Amino acid sequence: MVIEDWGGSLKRRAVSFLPLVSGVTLVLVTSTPLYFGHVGDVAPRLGVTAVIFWTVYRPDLFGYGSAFFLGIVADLMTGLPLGITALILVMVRHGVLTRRRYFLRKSFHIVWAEYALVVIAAAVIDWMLAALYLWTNSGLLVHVFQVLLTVALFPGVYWLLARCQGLITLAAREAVGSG
Amino acid sequence: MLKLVLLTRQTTQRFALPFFVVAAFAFILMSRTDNPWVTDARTLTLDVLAPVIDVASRPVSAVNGAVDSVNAWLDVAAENERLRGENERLMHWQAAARQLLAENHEFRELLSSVAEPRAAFVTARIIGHSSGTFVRTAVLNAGTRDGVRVGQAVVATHGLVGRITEAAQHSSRVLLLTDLNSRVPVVFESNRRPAIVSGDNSRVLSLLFTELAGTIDSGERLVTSGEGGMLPPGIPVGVVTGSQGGLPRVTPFVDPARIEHVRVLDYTLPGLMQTTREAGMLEPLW
Repeated sequence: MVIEDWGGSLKRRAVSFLPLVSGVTLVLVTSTPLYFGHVGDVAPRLGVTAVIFWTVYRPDLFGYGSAFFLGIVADLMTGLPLGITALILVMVRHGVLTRRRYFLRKSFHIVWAEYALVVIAAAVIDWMLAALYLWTNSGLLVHVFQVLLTVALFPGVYWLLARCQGLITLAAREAVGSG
Repeated sequence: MLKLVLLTRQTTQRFALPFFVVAAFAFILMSRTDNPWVTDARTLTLDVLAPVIDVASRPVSAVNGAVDSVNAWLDVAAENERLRGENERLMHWQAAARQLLAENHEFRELLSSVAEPRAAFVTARIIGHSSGTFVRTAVLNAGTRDGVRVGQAVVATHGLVGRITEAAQHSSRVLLLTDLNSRVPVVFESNRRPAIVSGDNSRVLSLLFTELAGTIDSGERLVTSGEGGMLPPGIPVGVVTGSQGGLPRVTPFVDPARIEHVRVLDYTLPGLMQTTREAGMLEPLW
């Protein structure tokens, strides 16, 4: 019985890291080369997708610390100035948290549209930070393609993250059942 | 006790946002001032996560290979025709090259010219890309353990790709030619006039410090000058394809988004700097 409790507790703890693990995985996928010419030039902002999803559905398991950590990992991996993506993701979390009610219990299309607005806002912050950091106009075209690609990939990424969310819910139910 | 826990949680939640925003700005500042701690952290992360990305990139690479194979099968007749024509042209060039090589050798003998050091190389796979507004870099699956060092040139079949800026034990990062911070000394192939090609995070390069800005024709080829001793001379860089705001624009010969394997050159001028490996131990490239 004690061993079962210990095993269940370990499982719950492990599953509670899923939001962060899924975020890091999406960041790693983003930095994988596609070799598809022009598409390979623009990487989607899947880290932003992870932050939006988990802030809406499990803000208790994905705090500001998680968003910050995810951003730092992304910056270290992609060679960006350290702190840039971390700042964007922390601000995205704050923005989504304050608008959470517009995402919850809404149809998928509404969620998709809300999501697109947040991705555009993240791109604007990125563009402003790039202008301040590099002291040059980085051009809007890259951001436009990045936003379009990220928004287009949302249904697939949403489905994957929803499966992770399902695992977390299942682990919580099992814990209640055994208790 | 419960009150204390709740109070601590509320305080943490209230100050979490400003704390992490300030922390992010502190990191940006450290990055801006080239803090060595940031470089160490990047190198460590590369080493830890590079094997994961390497594995993750293999399915994409396999799919890409399969698509290429299908395309090759579909275009086999047209490709064959194109290659026959190209082969014929190259045979003429080969004859000319042999003659020039013999002449060049003879002149070098006559002038007692000092031979260029040979560059050895390490072949590596591109396992990561970062593109966007800030940087244009690629991650290779070869590091210091394989002889890769900061500053070495990275080339593909058609020309220069970039330069190594970070070298971890098992992986390394390449600053691509198109990155905003990239500057490469070049010469015009036709008249040997020097210039600098500079990236601006777009797909084309700018040509700086050239005396001929107004008179450069499209189609002029640029190769590395070897100035500074960091890069071997004569590596193809790009071709002039137009101008913007009075400055010539150069299209690089290599599109890093389309290549999978590159060579990292171990090129060192004798006496200029410490060699990491005796040049010529591996097969010569140039």
